[in-house]
Amino acid sequence: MGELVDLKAKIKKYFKFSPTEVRSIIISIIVLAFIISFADWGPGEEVDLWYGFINLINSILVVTISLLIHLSVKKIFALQMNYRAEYNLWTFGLLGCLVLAFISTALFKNTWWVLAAGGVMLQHIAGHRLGHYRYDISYYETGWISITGPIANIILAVFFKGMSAFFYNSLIVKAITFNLLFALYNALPIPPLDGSRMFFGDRLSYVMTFSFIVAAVILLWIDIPIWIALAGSVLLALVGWLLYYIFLEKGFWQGPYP
Amino acid sequence: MAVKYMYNWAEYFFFILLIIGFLLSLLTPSAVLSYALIFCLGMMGGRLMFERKNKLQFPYYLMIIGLLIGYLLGAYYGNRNIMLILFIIGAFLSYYLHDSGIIRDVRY
Repeated sequence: MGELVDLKAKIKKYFKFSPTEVRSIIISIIVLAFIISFADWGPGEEVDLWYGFINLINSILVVTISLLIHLSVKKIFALQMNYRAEYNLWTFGLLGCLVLAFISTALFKNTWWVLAAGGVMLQHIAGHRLGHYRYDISYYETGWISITGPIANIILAVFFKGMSAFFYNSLIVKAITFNLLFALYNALPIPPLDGSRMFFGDRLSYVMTFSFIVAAVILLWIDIPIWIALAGSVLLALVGWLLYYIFLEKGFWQGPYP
Repeated sequence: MAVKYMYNWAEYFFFILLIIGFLLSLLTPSAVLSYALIFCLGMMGGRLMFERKNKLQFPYYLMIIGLLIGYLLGAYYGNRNIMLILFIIGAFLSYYLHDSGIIRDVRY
């Protein structure tokens, strides 16, 4: 209970977005929304500016909700571990996503949603980390904080999928797809994406969380009940973790007394 | 081979990026997409130059020029002069945005 009161106080004091962060978030939202609405600038092959504009606004709405929840969850978990998380753009990633969107639309008449926007940098909050093992930044904790973002997106996708049973429309489908793909791309072990922090923090945890995310993306995408998809994802994550340990990790690390 | 690569990495990357640029521009089927693409590539170049500020720069200029030459060679749709101008504008804009702190990004 004391921890919750402490977390509430820390959220009140430290949970804020700096002006640079706000700029980065706005740029990411606009670019990602542009990518996911790039194929929707008119019915069929025609170009209709009004139709495209409405789709762009809808996409901005979807991306804003998803990105803000993704970042807020990370910030709250970071505060719980007495770090301050700050979102930073990945210019090369965003531009690469744009290039891939253009090329895929030109070649396959179908836009590839590659969504690699940025990552978080963590700073320890001086004083609050007193008493922690590693007063400074710990790779392991950094990894877990980072991976909460993609998991938040999976949970958001579950929420939207639940909603789609009552209000099925193209916007909700877009929200589900965006959240699933955003979680998947962020879980890749490419710096500065979230997966890289977890990968360098703890390989076994990375394999488990990555297996969970991949399984959740596939199972939530196909038409099966949500609880089966989630239970199946957890099961596949455990299987992935076990297989990785047996076939790879065990060989890397044989203990201090061989 | 490894020693040669260590001595000539800039030339290797010049050639690789030349081919990538050539293929990218061959794949684009319209002038508008070509212009959008070259602008994005220019912004990437600007970002790279900003990162190399006050460091070794020449090999990176060589690689960026390789990409530009490859792209211009493969461009079938659109005007090559406009592409060149868009590339330069993209590079300068990106450099300025990063240099003035309007965009702050992270690579690692």
